[in-house]
Order: sequence, then structure tokens, then C-alpha cells
Amino acid sequence: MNQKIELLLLAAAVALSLWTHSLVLKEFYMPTYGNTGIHAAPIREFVETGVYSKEDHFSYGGGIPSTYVPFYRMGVAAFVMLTSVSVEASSRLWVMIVGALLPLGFYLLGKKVFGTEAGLFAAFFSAIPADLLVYTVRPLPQALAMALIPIALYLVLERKWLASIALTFFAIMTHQEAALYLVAVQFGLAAFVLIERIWLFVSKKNESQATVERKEIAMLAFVCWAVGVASYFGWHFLVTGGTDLLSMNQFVLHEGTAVGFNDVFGQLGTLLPWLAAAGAVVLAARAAKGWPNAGELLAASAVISGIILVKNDLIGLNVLMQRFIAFLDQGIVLLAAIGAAWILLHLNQESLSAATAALRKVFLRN
Amino acid sequence: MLSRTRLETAAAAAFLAIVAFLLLYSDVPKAVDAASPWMNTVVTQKEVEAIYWLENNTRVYEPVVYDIFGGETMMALSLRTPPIGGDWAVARDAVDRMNNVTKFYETTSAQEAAEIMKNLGARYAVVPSRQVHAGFGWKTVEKQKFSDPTFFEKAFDNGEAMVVRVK
Repeated sequence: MNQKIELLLLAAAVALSLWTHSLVLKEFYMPTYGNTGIHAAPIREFVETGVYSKEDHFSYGGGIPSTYVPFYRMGVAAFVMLTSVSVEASSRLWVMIVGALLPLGFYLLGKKVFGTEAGLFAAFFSAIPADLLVYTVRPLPQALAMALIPIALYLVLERKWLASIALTFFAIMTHQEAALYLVAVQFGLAAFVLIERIWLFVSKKNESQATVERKEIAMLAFVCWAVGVASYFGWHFLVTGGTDLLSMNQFVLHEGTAVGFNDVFGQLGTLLPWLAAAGAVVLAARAAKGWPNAGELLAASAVISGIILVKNDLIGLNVLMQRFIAFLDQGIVLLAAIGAAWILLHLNQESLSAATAALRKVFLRN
Repeated sequence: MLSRTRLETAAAAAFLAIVAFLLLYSDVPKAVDAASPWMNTVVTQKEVEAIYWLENNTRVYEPVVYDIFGGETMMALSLRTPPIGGDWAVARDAVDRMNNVTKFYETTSAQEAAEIMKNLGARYAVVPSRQVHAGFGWKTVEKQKFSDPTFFEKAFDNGEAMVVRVK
């Protein structure tokens, strides 16, 4: 594709995302749904006192450990201190930054997984899922973390060890649920490749360039997973003195609603379900021919991890199921981008003739 | 390399046109419609005036009774501490607090409301005109009780949001 056209289309995708995210600017004050204030308070406290407190002075009467991971709050506070823009305005401005980052991250990841067309489709499709917008349009740590996930996964596929480990750590320290999804996708990718390694060993097959590449990517994915898990448990221990995550109220009281088929598909619009189905068929067809490449394995992991988290009540966790729909959306966007790219690239004379012949057969027979 | 035939180009263009149409005229507008209600501030501009009054007349971290949305806005704007609202992951008595604040707003008894305030360690409470959410759904505020001079006095009132002090 002509590079100028590619950049123009990417700019259009970013403009679309900025337009949807400009919703955050429409009222006199930032949205309060989603507990935006509970982040703005310690941000203001940090700005006014210069101290990031491990104790939460505000929630439920204050005096409790501040379990939220700190980087979003520290980042916005630093921005406020550097620019003198108010906490509330800074928080909304960061949503606009997320609005720009999201399609860019998806473009990088989609392009790496399945080529330029997939990257551009992914950039545009990131504006479609309603839940993805709901959770990236409000001034919350989740918004920033969700914009970082595609970039972190891209860096893993690029085998940029330092950058991917650093960004994984940064994402983990930005938002808990995003952390869980990111390390789940990384772990899933590593697990797929482990299955391949076992098969290679058992069948005594030789390594190829492709298998070596997958091995290297899987090793990095596994290290990122380990760093992510250690970071989060380390933070929790630092703040609470313990590592028993399951004693948190969300787990004890099972905060969350069960998610049904309609809850997921109802917020995907018209395009994504069909194109994601096409993407799934493409991946399955490739898997039938031989091991998919690392990018394709990652796309599969992104969807499977999202499904497991959305249905975590079935594995005994039973917490915040509906919150993970937005993360599953990220996997679906990638899958749909693969499907759309494949369709576009295969709209050639041969395929059209074959499709026309098949349709003729079906209708003439009937 | 062969160039694409006209048919291929037309097919690709048609596919892209369908995708672009559905994206711009159906799917993205639907997403925006779904996200729009989440932009609601819940807290009104008049309530923000009450919050600024608190900022000028109380100390930092002072407990002030408020609902979840108001309490979180108050903590964000003025570093005052509501009894509910915020990170409840490790809050010791989150459910009890939600019950008490719900009762505080709903009860018709000035004495009961005053006792709840004192037990929560608060001198002040914000009384908005809208419905409040203290963890168990939207509830209508029983405002009459705050006019009882035995238990409460009005510290701030802009016609829509009140700050009352318990005696």
C-alpha cells in the first residue's frame, strides 16, 4: 500500500477515535460513573502535598490501604505539577490522549499480526465496541491501560525484550484488571508455543526458522507474564502487608454480574461479529495447515483469555465478569481485522469466479 | 505481477464501502449512544458550590456525609472524606456504612439522622436535591428532617444543595 495513503487512513482512524472520545468534554465536569473521583482525590493530594500516600485517606472513611496500583495517579499528578492544568481538566485531557493511542496501538499490533490492511482495519474497528468506548472514554486508569495493552503485545511480537517487559510492568502498575488480561494473553501465547515444543520433541521434528521465532517470542511472553504477576503481588504486599488478593471485598462479596451471549454481541455492532467469525475461520484454516505464526497465536489467545475472564464465574472466581467484556472486545477487534484483511486481499478474479459459481450452483439447484 | 482486474477493484471497493458505511453510520454512532449516558456528572453545579463551601470552611480530610457520587466528587475537588464511596476492596465495614448513609438520607427521623452523622464522625452533611445512591440503588432524600432545629442547622444553602451541621 502507498505509504501516504496508509498514513492518511491511519490519521482518519485516529480522528474518528478522538471524535468518539471527545464525549468526555461535553459536560461541565468529568463523568463520575466508574468512580473517577477516587483517582482524582489522591492525584490532588499528591499534587498538593508532594507525597503519594500508601494509605487511602478518602475511601469509606479513609485509613485503609491504597490498593489501587499507582502509575495512572502518579502520571496525571506529574502532568498537573508540570503544566499547572487542573486535576479535573488533566484527567479529561488524558482521555483524549488515550483516544489517540488506542487506534495507533491496534494499528501496530494488527499490522504485525496480519499485515498493513489488518492494522488499518484494527485501528478503525477499535472505535466500534461500545464497552471498549465506555471504559476508555472516562478518566480512569483502565482507559490508559487498555490503550497500552495492544502496544505491549506488539512489542512482544517484535521481540523487544526491554521495551515489552517495561511496558508490561507499566501496564500492570496502571490498572489491575487490565494487568490480569494482559498477562493472561501473554501466558496463553506462551502456552500455545509450549504445546508446539512438546509436539516437536515427541515427533522428533527439526526446528525451522518459524519454530525458533515462535520459541523466542513465547519465552519473552512468559517472562512478561512472570514480571507482571510478580509486580502486582509485590505492590499488593507493599501496601497491605499480605498477598491474599482473594480477601478483597470484590472477591468475598462477588462483585459482578454474569455475562450472557447478548451482553457481548449486543455491544459489538453489525460489522465485528461477522468479520470476527471470518477471522476465526481464517485462523482455524491456517492451524489446519500447520502451526499458526506467533501473531495468529496471540490473536487466538487474546480472544480465548477474554472469554475465560468474561465467564470467570464458570471457573469459580465469580467477580467483575461484565468488566472484562471491554477486554474481550480487544481480542475481537483483532480477530475482525484479520477477517476483514483476508476478505479484502482475497477479492481477486479467482475467488470471485469461485464464489459466483458456488452461488449459481446453490440457487440453480433450488 | 498482474494488475488487478476491474472486477477485483470493484469488489474490493464495494467491500470497503460496506465496511465504511456500517462503521460510520451504524456501529460507531451506536457505540457513542451507548457511552453517552456514562458521561453524566450526576453531581450538579450547585452541589459543586456546596463542595467549595466545605473546602473553605472545614479542614482537609474532614469527614462529611454524602452519597457515593457526591462523596467521590467532594474528595476529588476538596480532599474531604465521605463515609462511603471510593475503593471498597479492603474497606473494613463498607456494607454497614452504605446501610447507614442510606438510612441517613431516607429516614424521616431527625434524631436518627443526627445519631448516624455523629457515629460517622461527621459535623457536616451535604443534602442534594437529586436522588442519592449510597450503595443500594437511587433513593429520594427526606429533606424535612433537616429543618428540625433541635438536631440540625443549615450552614449553606443555594436553593438546590444544602450543607447541614449536626448539633
